Amino acid sequence: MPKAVKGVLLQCDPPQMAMILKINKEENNAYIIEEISTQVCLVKEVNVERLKQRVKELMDSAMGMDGDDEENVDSDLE
Amino acid sequence: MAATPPQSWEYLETLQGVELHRLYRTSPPSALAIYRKLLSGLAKHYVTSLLFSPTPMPVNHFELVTRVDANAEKVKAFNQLKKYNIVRETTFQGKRCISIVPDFARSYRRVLDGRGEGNPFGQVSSPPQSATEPTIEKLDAHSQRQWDGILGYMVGGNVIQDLQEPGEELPAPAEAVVELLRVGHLVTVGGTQSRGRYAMGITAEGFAFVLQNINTQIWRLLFLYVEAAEQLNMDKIDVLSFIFFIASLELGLAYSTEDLTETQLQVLTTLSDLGVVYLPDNTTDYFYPTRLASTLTSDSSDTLSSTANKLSSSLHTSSAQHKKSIAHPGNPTGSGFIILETNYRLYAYTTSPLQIALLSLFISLRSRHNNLVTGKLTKASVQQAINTGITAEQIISYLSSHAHPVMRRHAAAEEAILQSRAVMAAAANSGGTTDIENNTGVTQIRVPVVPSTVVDQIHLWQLERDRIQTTPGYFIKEFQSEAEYRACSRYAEEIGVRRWYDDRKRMFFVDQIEGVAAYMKDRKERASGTT
Repeated sequence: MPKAVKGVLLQCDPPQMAMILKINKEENNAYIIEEISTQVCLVKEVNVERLKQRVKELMDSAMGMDGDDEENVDSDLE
Repeated sequence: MAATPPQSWEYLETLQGVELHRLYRTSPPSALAIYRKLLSGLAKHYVTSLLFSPTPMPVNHFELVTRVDANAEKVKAFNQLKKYNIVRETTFQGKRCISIVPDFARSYRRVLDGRGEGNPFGQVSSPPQSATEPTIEKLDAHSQRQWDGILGYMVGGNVIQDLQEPGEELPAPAEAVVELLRVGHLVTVGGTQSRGRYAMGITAEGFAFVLQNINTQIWRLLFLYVEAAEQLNMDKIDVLSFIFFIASLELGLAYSTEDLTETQLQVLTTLSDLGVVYLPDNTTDYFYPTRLASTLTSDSSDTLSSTANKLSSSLHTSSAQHKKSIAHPGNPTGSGFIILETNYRLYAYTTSPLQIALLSLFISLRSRHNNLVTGKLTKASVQQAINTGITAEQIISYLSSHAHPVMRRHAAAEEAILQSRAVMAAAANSGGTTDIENNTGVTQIRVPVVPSTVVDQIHLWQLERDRIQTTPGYFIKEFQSEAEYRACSRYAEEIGVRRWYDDRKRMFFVDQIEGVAAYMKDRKERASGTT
């Protein structure tokens, strides 16, 4: 008999998945119910928003939000 | 428009069956509005074939009139009809049959043949000779003012106050409207009072709201109003049926208020605050529906966009200064004012404080001139907008629906060049034997109004922040056999609930489990019956 599991399907690219796995490991499997592939996993519904927030924080600190300085310069308009 | 009803219409799905029945029974315009606006083409077809049938129709009749490969659409159409309580399944002479709900049928038949007591579509009244009848332009201007006032309030009164010329202030929205916006979480009203008004802030939902088209916006507010009706001691079905009634009236005619109930008069006042109807100052005997009212339940996207154009054009011609400075040649309705270059620079020919405030949500503005503001789409400005809840799609659709005629002409010219090139290439490939005029083999090329580099970049900027997609639902796995997996998975796809699948691992994901669960149970019973 097939089994049905309630949860949230999470789809993303492999680098993001790496971050998710890292966060999940650091917080003792608080989020992931089942790892399916490098792009898909099943997560607990109650914690989805918190997981997204964590990933955002991690990205901000990894990339730094100062990367777009040069794009605001319009040299030929000055 | 008809294919994807706006989000706010989902409100109707939350109504109880009894409430829907009462809505259909008491108000023929409601039956018409739901038929026009919400049902898919196939569902309309089924309703029409059932409407005058004295007995229920056997289920297999519908299989005969539907193409075999359209099974998914058929299931969808029936789900839709059952959800809105228009048809139900019965047994007639021992066969499974579909019958139309009598309340709906009676009202809808009345819409078609006009029989019965009274006129369900309102009493047209002729105003006294002395009264000056408002012209259609005046009605448009009224809707425009009210609506601008509401949007202006939402995008931030302070910005607007700094931008607008003295004497041309936008009207402040009525108390009741502000309350609606607050209840709908479109704005938050803070506890501290400053300059006679409570401090307010716009929410993420509110940001998304201001960039939507006007029809979606107005329905969102109307449904909020219906929901809040009970707190105002009104019956929500009465309010809803009255709104559908207003939506069925004709633009430019005066309607008598004589037969209206207390509740309906109260709703009328709020509708006037929203700009949906116009109430003359000196009398309460009659009212005029505006363009916003008559297009409420229209399902043609042409009418909807022409409404948007008519109304938004007055947005930037309302200023006298603007009128003398620039006229759009050959385009009296002035379908747009934004020029966006491939280098992300933007020039907006507008003096409207509201439009400038809207643009400043996602564009870093550089300078303001007499009739022009300039700015640039930057990574920072777009991501800031995305953080506040605006999506890339909304930005792009806003830019393309307000694109200046020059941009449209440019895109059309580019399209023609590419098209002719493709035709030439096709002709050359087939050894010059193809007739150039007969270009059926060549696919139609579409050039978007907003430069595609910019469109792609806006999407990329959004993706960078938002690379995770989540779908709540049920994960189904551990199938015993390949055949069982294939059958269930295919069924889930047909009824449109399958969101992801992996054939190799024999697992799939659905966002609604009821249909699939019933199917799997059915299958199991059948299997145990045969063995």
